[in-house]
Formats: sequence, C-alpha cells, structure tokens
Amino acid sequence: MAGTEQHREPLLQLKGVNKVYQTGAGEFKALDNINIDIFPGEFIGIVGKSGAGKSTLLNMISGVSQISSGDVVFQHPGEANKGPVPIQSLSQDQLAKWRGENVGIVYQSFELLPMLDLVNNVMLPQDFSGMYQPKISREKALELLELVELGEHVNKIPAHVSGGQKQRVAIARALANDPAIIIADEPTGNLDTKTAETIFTIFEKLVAQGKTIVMVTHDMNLAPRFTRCLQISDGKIVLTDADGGGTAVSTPSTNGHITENNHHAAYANGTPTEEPEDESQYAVLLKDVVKTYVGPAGSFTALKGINLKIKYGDFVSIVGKSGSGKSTLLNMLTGIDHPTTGEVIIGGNRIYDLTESQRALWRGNNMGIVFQFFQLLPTLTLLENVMLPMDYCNVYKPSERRGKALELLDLVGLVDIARQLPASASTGQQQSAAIARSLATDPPIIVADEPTGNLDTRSADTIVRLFDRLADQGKTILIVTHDPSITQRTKQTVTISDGLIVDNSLEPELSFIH
Amino acid sequence: MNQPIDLSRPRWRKVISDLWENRARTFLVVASIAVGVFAIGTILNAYVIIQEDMSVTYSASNPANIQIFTDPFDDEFISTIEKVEGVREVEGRHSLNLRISKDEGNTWRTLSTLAVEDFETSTIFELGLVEGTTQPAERELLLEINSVDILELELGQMIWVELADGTIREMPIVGIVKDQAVLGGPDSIAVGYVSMDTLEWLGRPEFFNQLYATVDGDSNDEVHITAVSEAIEDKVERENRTLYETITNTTNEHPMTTTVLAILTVLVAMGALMLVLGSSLIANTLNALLTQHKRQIGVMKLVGAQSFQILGMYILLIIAYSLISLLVAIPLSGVAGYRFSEFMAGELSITLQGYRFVPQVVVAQMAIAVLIPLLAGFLPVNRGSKTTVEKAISDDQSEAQSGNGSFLDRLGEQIEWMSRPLLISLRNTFRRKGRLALTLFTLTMAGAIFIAVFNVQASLNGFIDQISDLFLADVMIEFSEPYRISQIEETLSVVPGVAAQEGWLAGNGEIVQDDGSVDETVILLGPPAGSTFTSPKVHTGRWQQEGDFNTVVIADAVWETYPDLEPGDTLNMKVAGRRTEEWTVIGFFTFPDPGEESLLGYTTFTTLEEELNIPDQVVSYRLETVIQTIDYQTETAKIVDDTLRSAGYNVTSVEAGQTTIQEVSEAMGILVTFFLIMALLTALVGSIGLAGTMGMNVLERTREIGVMRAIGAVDLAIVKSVVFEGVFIGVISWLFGIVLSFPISFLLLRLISTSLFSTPLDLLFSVRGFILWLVVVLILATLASVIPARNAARLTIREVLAYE
Repeated sequence: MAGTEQHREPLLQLKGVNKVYQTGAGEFKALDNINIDIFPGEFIGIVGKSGAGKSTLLNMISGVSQISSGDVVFQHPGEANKGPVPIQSLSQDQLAKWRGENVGIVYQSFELLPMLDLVNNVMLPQDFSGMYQPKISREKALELLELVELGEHVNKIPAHVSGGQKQRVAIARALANDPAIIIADEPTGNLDTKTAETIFTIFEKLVAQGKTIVMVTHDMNLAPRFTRCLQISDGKIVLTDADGGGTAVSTPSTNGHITENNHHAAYANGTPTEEPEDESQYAVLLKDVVKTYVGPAGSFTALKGINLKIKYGDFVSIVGKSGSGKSTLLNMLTGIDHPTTGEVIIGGNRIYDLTESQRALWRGNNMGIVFQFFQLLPTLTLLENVMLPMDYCNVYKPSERRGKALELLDLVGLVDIARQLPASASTGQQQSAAIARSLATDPPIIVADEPTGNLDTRSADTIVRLFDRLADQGKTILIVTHDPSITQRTKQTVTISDGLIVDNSLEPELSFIH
Repeated sequence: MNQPIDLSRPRWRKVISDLWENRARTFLVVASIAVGVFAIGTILNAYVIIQEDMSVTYSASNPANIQIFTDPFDDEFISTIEKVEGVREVEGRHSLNLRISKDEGNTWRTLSTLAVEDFETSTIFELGLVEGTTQPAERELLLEINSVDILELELGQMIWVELADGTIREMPIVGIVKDQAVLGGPDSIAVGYVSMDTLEWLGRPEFFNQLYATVDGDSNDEVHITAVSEAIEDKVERENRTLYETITNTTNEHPMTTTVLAILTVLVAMGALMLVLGSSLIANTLNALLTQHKRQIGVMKLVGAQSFQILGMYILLIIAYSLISLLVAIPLSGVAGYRFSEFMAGELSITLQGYRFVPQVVVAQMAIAVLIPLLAGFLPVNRGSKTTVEKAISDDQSEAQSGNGSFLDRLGEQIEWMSRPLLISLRNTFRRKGRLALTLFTLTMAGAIFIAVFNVQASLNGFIDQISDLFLADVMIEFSEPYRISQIEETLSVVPGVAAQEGWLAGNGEIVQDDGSVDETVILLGPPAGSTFTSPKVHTGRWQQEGDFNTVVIADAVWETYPDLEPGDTLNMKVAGRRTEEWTVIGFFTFPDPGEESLLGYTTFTTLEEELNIPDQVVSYRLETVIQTIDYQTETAKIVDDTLRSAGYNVTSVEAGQTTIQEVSEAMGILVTFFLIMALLTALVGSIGLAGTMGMNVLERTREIGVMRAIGAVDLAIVKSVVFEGVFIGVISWLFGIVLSFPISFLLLRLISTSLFSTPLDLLFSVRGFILWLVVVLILATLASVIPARNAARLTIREVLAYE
C-alpha cells in the first residue's frame, strides 16, 4: 500500500519539524526532527506513551501549535493549481480559515459546544467558513448525524447523550465541510471497548470512502488496522510500520480484548470469602463495590462489583485502558466518590460513614495522594506545598513543620529548590514535590494516579525509583499506571476492564514489559 | 458580517444560549449595567423635569422682577412708581408677622403674612390654587403649601392669632395656595395671606411696606431689570424713604435654579461614577466569561472561526446584556426620576407640571447602556477572540497559576510566618491582578464616597455649631419694642432652670463709600461686655474689650469686597440709617461669605446702645438653660413666653436654640441622606463586583480546592480560605478608600456648600465615617465571599477533579 503512495503527491508534508517549549526548568524538546509525508486516503496511526509527543505532532499537523523550526506543507489534492500552502506562514485567522475548509478535527474530550444541540454543533464549521445556507446546511448536518447513527438525537444537547455519541457528533462535525484530512487525537480514549470499536469502525468506513485520517492512540491493538503506524517516543519517530501490521509495535497485553475466560477468572479471584475476617488487617478492603452514574444520557455502570484486598506494605499497580474504570476505582479507595452499593474499608474504617468534611480530614491523615498532573498549589513554594497537609491535619507542632517538610524534600532530592514556586520547577521535580507532599502527614497508604503519565522517560525513572524506596520503607502503595516500568516493580497487579477486575495476579506479568 | 443577523445560525444560537443558560451571570452583568443606567437615568429625569418645570411654573406666576422693602406707602406711591420708565406693573404688599396657635394657645408659632389689596386683580406672583380658594374674604387666611408641613395645619382649620395687646382673634384657613415667591430649602419659613381689609382687625394700619414690580421689555434681561430697579430706588430715595432691601430677578429663572441644579449636578456626577464602577464590574465579568469560554473559543477556531467572527459573537452578547438592562432601567428610572423630582420640588417648594416621559433622557440612557459596556468589554472580548487555539485547548492558565514576579508577588513570597492556608488566601488575592484592580477600584470608590458623605455631614454640622457658637442661645427672645434689661431680669427671675442671661442689641450697618454709595451691609450684634453667649474664632486681630467704642470685629468674608482690610483700618459705616461714622476694624473671625446677604459683625453693647439711642434697653434677650436638651429648652421657652406675656411684654418670638439647630440639621440631613443613598448604591455595585470576583476566583480554582480537600482540608478550612481572601480585598479597599476620601470629601463639600450657602465651608473629618465603612465593607466582603465559599466547600473532589 505504501508503495503505491510513493507515486502520488503528499497531502501534507512535515519536513524537519522541531518543537521546543520553554519551561520553568529550561528548554524541553517535544518534537525532534520529524519528517512525515501523509498521502490522500491513508489511515495513519500514531502511537506512543503519554508525554511522548503524539499530541504535539497532531497540533503541528493541524496548525494549532507553532513549530519551532522546519516546514509543514499542505497541498489540497483537488486544487493542485493553487500550489502548496506552508502552514507555518499563515496567521492565526488564516490558519482558522484553512482548518475550517480543509481539516476535520476530533479530540479525545469531544469538544462540543455544550449549549448548542447536536445539529447546530455539526453546522458550526459551515457557519464560520461562509458556506452556511440555512436549509442546505441543516440537511447536510442531519445527513452526517444519520451517517454516525445519531439521527434520533439531533435536537439533544451534548450533556444529554453518552460519551460515545458525543464522539460520533464530533466526527460528524469534522466532516461538515468535507475536509481533505481528518485528525483525531485519542478519539476512543474515554470510551468503553464496545463504543471505541464503533468509533474506529466509522473511521475505517471513512477511509474506505477515500478520506485521509491521522489518529493518535494508546491502543496498540489497533495498530494492524491502520494503513501506516508511527511510534513516537521522546519526540522522535522511533518506528514506522508501513504495512500497518503492528508486529513491530509494542502492545501491552493488558490493553487487549477481554475474553470471557479471564473475565470469569478475575471475578472469581475477587469474590469475598464467606468466613468472617479481621478487616483491620487489610490496608484496603473492597466488598462488592458497584458504581453507577445516572445522567441525562442514561445510566452507566463504571464499576460492576469490585472485590479487592490489599494488605499493609503491599506495592500494587492498577492497570487497564482508558475508560476501564481505574479512576473510578481510585476514587472509591480515596473516599473521593461514593460507591452506589458495596463497602469500602480502608485501614479498618468504613470511610463512607463519614461526612465529606470528616473524610477530608481522615484522608489527610491516612492517605497520601499523588496526581498525574501533580496538582501543587501554584501560589505556594514547594516547601509550603509540603507543609500544607500538616497545617490542615494539625500534624506536628507548628515549629517542627518546616523541618519535617525539608526532610521530605531532601528525601525526594528537592531541598535545594524548596523555596521555588512550582512553575519554576520541571515537571519531574513537581511530581517529586507532590510525592513529598503525599508523605507530609506520614500516612500509611499512598495512592498515585498515573504518576509518570505526564513525564519524560528520565523523570519517570526518578519517580519510579522514589516509589521503590517508599515501598521498601513499608508504605502501602497503590498506583494506577500505564507504565510497564512500574508494574514490573509492584508486588501485585490489578487489571481492570469495563468496570471489572479481570486479573489480580500477585506476580507481575512480564509479557508486555520491554 | 454585513448581512442581516440570521438568528438561526449556530453562532447566534450560541449567543442566545449563553444569555439564557447562565442566568446568574446574565443577571450579574445586566444588574451592574442596569444599576448605573437606572441611577443616572433617575437623576437625569429629575434634572430635566425640575429644570423645565421650575422655569415654566415660575414664569407662569408672573414673578416680580423687582422687590423693594421700604417705609410704609400707599396707592398714591404705587401710582408714582408706575410712571417710572420701564415699569409695567406695580403692586404693594403689607408684610407682617403673626403670632399664631393651632391648639388654643398651648403652643405659638410665627406666621410670616402678606396682606394683599385685591386677590382677584393681583397679577404679580399670582397665587396658584392647591385646595380651597385663592380669594379669602375678610378675616380669612390663605396658607402657602410649604407652610402646611411646617406648621402642621390643614384646610378648614381654625387658628388663633394673638395681637400685640394680647387680644386673640380666630381665623379659618380657607385656602392652600402655591406662591412662587416662597422658596423652600433649609431655612424656609411659614407664609400666609390675608386681605388688606383684615389688617385693621389684626391691629395693624392699612399700608404697604413691600413693593412688587415687573418690567416692560425683556423681563429676562438682568441689565435691563437692574436699570429699572435703580430708577425705582432713585424715586424711593427722592421721596425721602429708607430703602431697606432690593431684590431683582428675571422672569424665567426661579431664584433657586442655581442651587437646585448644582445639587443635581453633584448627583449626576455620582450617577456617572456609579456607571463607571458598574462598567468595571462588566469588564471583570466579561474577562471571566472569556476565560471560561476560552476552550469554546478554541473549539470554534478549530472548526474554522476567525477572530472577527468570535468578536462579533461576544459584541452581540454585550449588546444583548445592554438591551435587557435597558428594559429594566428605562421604566424604573422614569418613575423614580419623577418621584425624586416630586420630593425635591416638595422640599424646595417648586411646582411640577406632572408626570411625563423624557425622550432625551431615554436616548441618553440607550447610548450609555450600549456604549459603556461595549467600551468596558471591548478589551477583554477582543483579547479573548484573539486567543490562539493552542492556548485555548491546552487550558493554559499561566496568568492565574502563579505570580509573574511583580513586587506584590515577591512580597507575598517573603511572608513565611503565616500558616499555609492563610498564605494561600493572601497570595490568591494578588493572582488576578487585573481583576483585583477593577474590584478594588469599585470598592475603593464606594468607600471613598461613603466616608466623604460622613465628612460632609460632619462639616455641615460643624458649620451649624459655628453658627450656634456665634449667636444662638438656649432660649432666644425677640421683643417688638425695647425693654429695660433690669426689668426683664426681674420678670424672668421666677423662671426655673435659667443658668445665665444676657440682653443683646442688634442693628443694620451700611459700609458707605466716599461717594455715598453703599458697598456692603453688615448685621451688627452688640453682646454685653464679657458675654459668655458668643465665641467667635478670631484669627486676625482681637475680640472686643472693655472701653472699645465704634469698633467692629467683622466676618472675614468682608475680604471678598475689601481684600486689603487689616486690623486698625477704618470703615465708614451708617447704622440704622443714621449718620455715617468712622469705625475701626479690630479683628476678623471665620464666617462664610453670605453671598448677597449682609455680613456679620460684632461691636460693643455700649456702641449700639448709643447708635440706636436706647440706653439700658434691649430688643433681643438670651438665656442659657441648666440642661441643654431640646425638650428642656422648649419647656423653658414656653415658660418664658408665658411669663413675659403675663407681665405685659410685646414678645415677637421665644425660640429654643436647639429647635433652630434641629430644623436646619434636618433639612441638611435630607441632602446628606440622598448622598448616602447614592454611596450605598455605589457600595452595592461594589459588593456585587466583589461577589462576582470571588465567584469567579472560586470557579477558576475549583481544581485547587479539590486538591486542598484531597490533602485534608475540612469544610471550615475551605470556607475560611475564601472568606479571608474576600475580607482581605475589603480591607485593602478600605485603606485606599480612606486616602481617596480626602479629595472626594473636599470636592463634595465645596459643591454642596457653594450651592447651599454660596461659600466654601471648612472640611471636618468624621471618624464615624471611617469606622462605619470598615464595618460595612467587612460585612459586605464576608457576605460577598460566603456564598462562593459555601459553594466551594460543597464541591466534592470528584466534581472538582473532573472539572474542566
């Protein structure tokens, strides 16, 4: 397939594209000498871990982000007489116009205008590009919504349809001006397996109709279905699979299709024992936890009966693809969200018997939380951020708090920049500070949500080593992660898919570790 | 863009949805526009109505262009004046004071009464009918509408009139009328009308002592009127009559026009200020709106929207806010403006022509309501519309995330002794500096005006005290003829509660130039030597001493006419129309320039005794009571009045000093209340602004609040964090407000005092204003922060961490 493309004019060419961001900790090279030719009719997949540069690359292609050096050149296939358009030379308004006429964009988070009904959302590109004709535009929008099988919902607002339906609206909108290329950034990232498959099938149909699509995804299993797949790591294209077979692209097994067998195995593994047990011996004990969200688009069960036991001192990773229920599970463990049914017992406490305010205090004393995006308070220095939980929970004498916080910053190697604001620290340093903060009240349990998800490889290594040390010190650690370098270190890996624990192995699965 | 707006287009549907879906924000913006437009519309309506109606109703009464007060005259004299060139109409009036009682002699009041020869044929200052009749028969009384409130009388009521010999006459009130010659204001007096035939029955001779004249030709030409007036004065003096006072006026200008319009101008200025403050609120809200919509703008740009298209959408949104606010503000300000005019008209005794719609004010309101928000909102909207997709989609909040290294940020970073929760509040305060500046501006202005109003009130009260110090006693007695001091002392020795008493003399002096013309008139008061009833602040020269004769301590307002006058200089003065003598100026005291009225001066009792040729006698007598409350003074005044009348004295009036002060204070209080209402409205705009700011701050920091919860912050900690920030803003605004209140107090007092008293008064400061505003601003700041704080505390972490 790639061989035939060589004889055609590329639709879009990226030549020596570099993108450098200035951060508080210096320069960060997000893209490094990228060269890609995108041909009409191609379905290109871009894969790679979080922070690898995938989204930055898409932003270069769509003109959303200015390149630091290099060229991005667009040539409309039907308008060869117009000549190539160097995108980087266009002004913001010219870019918007160019995008409206030539590019359809689909984001992971749908990005619909919440106050407009679906049909008006789809008509929006026509309105802005000057192609709007009340009757014709409406008919076209209805046709596109019919194409994505949403004909019955055209007058609903986005809040009243499901995530999958929103994404289908976003696709319909992307097609409104019949664009030359469609760019999709993790379009299935927030969707369950079935819905993700529906969306991907729509893309495949569009490619079959001659559309060109460039799609970023985490889901390695999709690699064989692209006409071409590019793997990106630390801002470089590290692998090009011209045949789209996906053989050369790493594919963690946790992200694979869930079979009925391992589903049952997992459920059996999680079933609570009949015998009475001492709840206080477990750091975490979940009994038949179900979480159902009810919204205007209907009800959605995110957790479908989770049973989980984690003992003190365990180092546990929770894995599963986006939308599988990992974050919901984490919210249950941390007392952030109420289960619909079932019991959550942490350190022997039924935490949902407490009020929200009491739970906040309990959490401050008993659980350190590390977020993917660090969530340091930007107006406080790193030192003050670490001291904050001590203030809230009244841990240590006020005169001792500074010293304790400095000890923790020393532990994570940040004592030299303790008085800097988070903005002037690198992302890795911010995450280290967040870990120091999670230890401020010396809680027995540390919960981390994708702690390396937003870091480059080197910073991620530092963080992983930190968790190792904490585990060695006897802390109970639960980490939600996509990162194999973490899962291989944990004692127990809980795999979750579509709201169920499908695997709860005590040994790390090594099959996807590279 | 040049096509007509098709509201079915998705982009316009978004604008309509933005208006409707976030009704709280729409309300906030509409309210902030509407408050300003309402305030300015109300004042402008009142301004137009009063200005028009004052002039129309005043000229309709055929006002006298010239009023002359002179010795008694009759119809023959009127015929003589009629022959003076330029004179069109002449009428005479007999002006007298009647001592009246509405409760059969329990309490007595003074009614300034005009006797008119023929009510039917009288054309000058034609009386307007309010109720009853305008033509009283003999022994019947008409009452001026303004007096109805002053005396608390009504149509049909019978009053007692006490004649000089003690005889009581009963008169019915047969009509309530409006006399355009009667002016309202703080020093308004009660006025009544009787026929000339009634005078004899009231023990008065039938003559005129007041002359009204209108002029031929242009009755609005001041020069022409003055020329005619001088011709009449010549005629009066050629007939060897004493000319006491001459007042000239044009036909179309009500004498209070300048005062009323000056006050309204101050209020217009305050309304405009409120509009400016409201617009800063609009700018703030739109800024926040654009921040919240940043992602949506990014999405629109992503699907092809160009900056001008986004700009058009938000400009339409602003215009929609303006139109909604106009729907509320126009009718309300129309009604409020007329009600305000009615109130002002009532207070100042002006007649209105009736409720009406003032189109030019509506046009002004429309222009203001559209232009001001557009001006205020253009910058944030224009900036927002130019947001790049990258910034919008990446949710870049660099401005909000941390300080940018300014002085304030560095200052905040250096404070380490404070607990971290307090530090967060403190540093959060300075995160959105633009927003903080606009919020502070609104609150600071509100505070400065609020404090200034109290300072102005203190200054006006100070002025009243000053007057009181100069010549007001606890009980003031005026006789219609001189009495011996020893005789009065003896009579009053039976009155209990009198701590001290003094007999004063008073006379009119005229400062005469070499050519015989009169430059200034001076009211000369002659307290006895060593008087404890007066304490003028003599700042140049000295006070009267034992042995001084033909010496005068004069109000420093005399410097307006004689700027070089110094202690030791002499003035030629004629007292009580007698011979001109040389007087030595020995000192100056502070007293405002009374404008066209007489200056105030003090001489010795003995000087006046000789000038007036009434040895050991007085016409004015003053008492100090042992208790200085208004009730005690009033009670003592009544006993004194009864005692003197029983003893056969011809008493003109006995007044309690505090009553006089209270009447003036009340009249000024109304004015101060108006300013206070405006200040509170400004404070309301300020607190709406602060509430909006705090709401926006909380909304923007929802994620941070979630993080605070996640690391152990309980409800109270979250609430405290938000409220402390609001209170901190309030305190900063208070400090700025104090500073700004000084110039504002000065300007406001100058405007008011020059309008009311034709002179600038000394500015005094009221601690009450500063403290009260601190309390108000703390309460407002707490209230403005509590709702956002409670909302913040109610957020669950799931909501905030899922928040986009």
